Amino acid sequence: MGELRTMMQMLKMSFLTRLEYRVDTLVATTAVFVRESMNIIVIYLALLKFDKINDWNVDEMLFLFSILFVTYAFVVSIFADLRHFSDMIRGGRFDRLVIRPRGLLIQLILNNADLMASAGHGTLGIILFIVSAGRVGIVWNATTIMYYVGAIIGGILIQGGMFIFFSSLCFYFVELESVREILYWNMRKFAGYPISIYSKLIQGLMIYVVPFAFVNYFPAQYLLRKPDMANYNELYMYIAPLVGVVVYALAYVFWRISVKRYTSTGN
Amino acid sequence: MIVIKDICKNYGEKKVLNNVSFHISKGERVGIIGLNGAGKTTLLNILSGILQPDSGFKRVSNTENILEKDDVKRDIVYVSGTKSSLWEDLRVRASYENCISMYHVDKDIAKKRLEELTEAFEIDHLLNSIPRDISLGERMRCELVYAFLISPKLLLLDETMIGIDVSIKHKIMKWLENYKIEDTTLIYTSHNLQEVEKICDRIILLDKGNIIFDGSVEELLEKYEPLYTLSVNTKGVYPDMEDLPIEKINIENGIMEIFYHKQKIETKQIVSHILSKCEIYDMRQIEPNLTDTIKKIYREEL
Repeated sequence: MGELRTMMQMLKMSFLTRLEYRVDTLVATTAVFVRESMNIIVIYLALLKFDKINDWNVDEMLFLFSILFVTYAFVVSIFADLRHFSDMIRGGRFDRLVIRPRGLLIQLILNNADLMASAGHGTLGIILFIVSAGRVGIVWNATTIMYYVGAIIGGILIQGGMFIFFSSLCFYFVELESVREILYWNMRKFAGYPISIYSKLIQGLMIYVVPFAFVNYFPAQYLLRKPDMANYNELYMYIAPLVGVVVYALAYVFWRISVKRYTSTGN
Repeated sequence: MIVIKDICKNYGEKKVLNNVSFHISKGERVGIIGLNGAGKTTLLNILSGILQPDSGFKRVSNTENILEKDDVKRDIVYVSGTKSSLWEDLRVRASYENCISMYHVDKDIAKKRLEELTEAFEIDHLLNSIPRDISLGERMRCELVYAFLISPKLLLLDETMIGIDVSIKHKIMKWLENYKIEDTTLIYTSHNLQEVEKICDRIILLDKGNIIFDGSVEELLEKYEPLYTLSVNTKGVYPDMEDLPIEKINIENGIMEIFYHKQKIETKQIVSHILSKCEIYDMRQIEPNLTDTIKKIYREEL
């Protein structure tokens, strides 16, 4: 109960802090929204030239993007403190968490929630969903709705697990931003498109190493059943929501092992 | 309570702690003194578990790895000028609520204790503030309340008086002097030796990562033979003191200042000698204090 209360307090304080700076919050949220929207518009205009990529039309691709944005809207607030975890260790802020008699991850979750980024990504994700979901031929019934919700939760857990995994590496290596940049942020950019358009190496990375394919591609395949799914094991579509649980659990175990190596950076 | 044996810690090429060993029993109040870079904070970081030594043995509260045991962590509070215990984004009151819950403090006891501490540390007006919005001195007062709210078995205080106003500092010092709960072991570092002298029974002197003294304040004063001063007004008559084992005499504005070691001569012998030669109109004895003694030690060490 104490843990839950602390997390709720963190979220409340993040919210209240943003409220104190209403104009800044509005500007920052709008900036995130406009920046991401511009990317989408550029991609949209480019896609209009091609008509289809690997048999995916523009609406289907927007649907793919919408899952990415909606899941990230949660990730960016729930796991905000893990985005720059190496800075937290270098700055000594992690020390005070370590000496408290409470779980470390619990203390990090929802702390410094980036609600502006959440609002920006979330709004865009919802708009893309509204624009695309009705035009891609998905039959929305109890099963598909449940699957969609499960896939969103799974996507949050996969990305949260990746944040935890990369943060755990900070206990071994001091500087990891470049690795994170390559493996997480670049793969996330790739995940905006059907993975079948990439080389086998990238596909392998996105399925087995940095499993963004299970965040949006395979869930979208379950709902859209595109022909390029023939390249992959059909099981991937069904297990996509569960992959999040597995990735998060593995990342958590790795975190527990790695955190034992922690030593403060100094005074 | 604490066993430290042959602890070494280096930062790169720099040796910060060099084969440091000591025992601290339950309930002891130990002051750790040293110049900047002597290794005080590093030692406290190691005791708290956040820093691992390069070599050596450490056991705190019967545990070698504190961080893996929440029940042991509940017995330890580490307050530092550089490491806040409070949640930086939560109101101070919310930090205390979390603290009470985390450390399993009985709610009724905690409520009463918080009222007392709020008054003693004058933080009533800060309870609804966010730590990052208040001054360093105010934050340190809030940090100390956090520590005493728990009533820990081991209290590590590292430079906790920084930034605190003199008037409030005096009040807090009084409070700390009276805070003698049987079970609580206190380890206190400060550059202000008067604070250490008032609060602690035992002193560990660190110099360049080595312990150069470990004992009581009295033992320290005795070991380093500091000078006592007798200030005497004889109204312009200055008796011959050459036969006495006096270290130095200063005469200024008609006042004779006599510096001596108590191990060599008693004050009453000096007074008797002066009275045998002339009248004394005023007299004052200045005992050596810890500050002067420590200054002397470091001058010699350096």
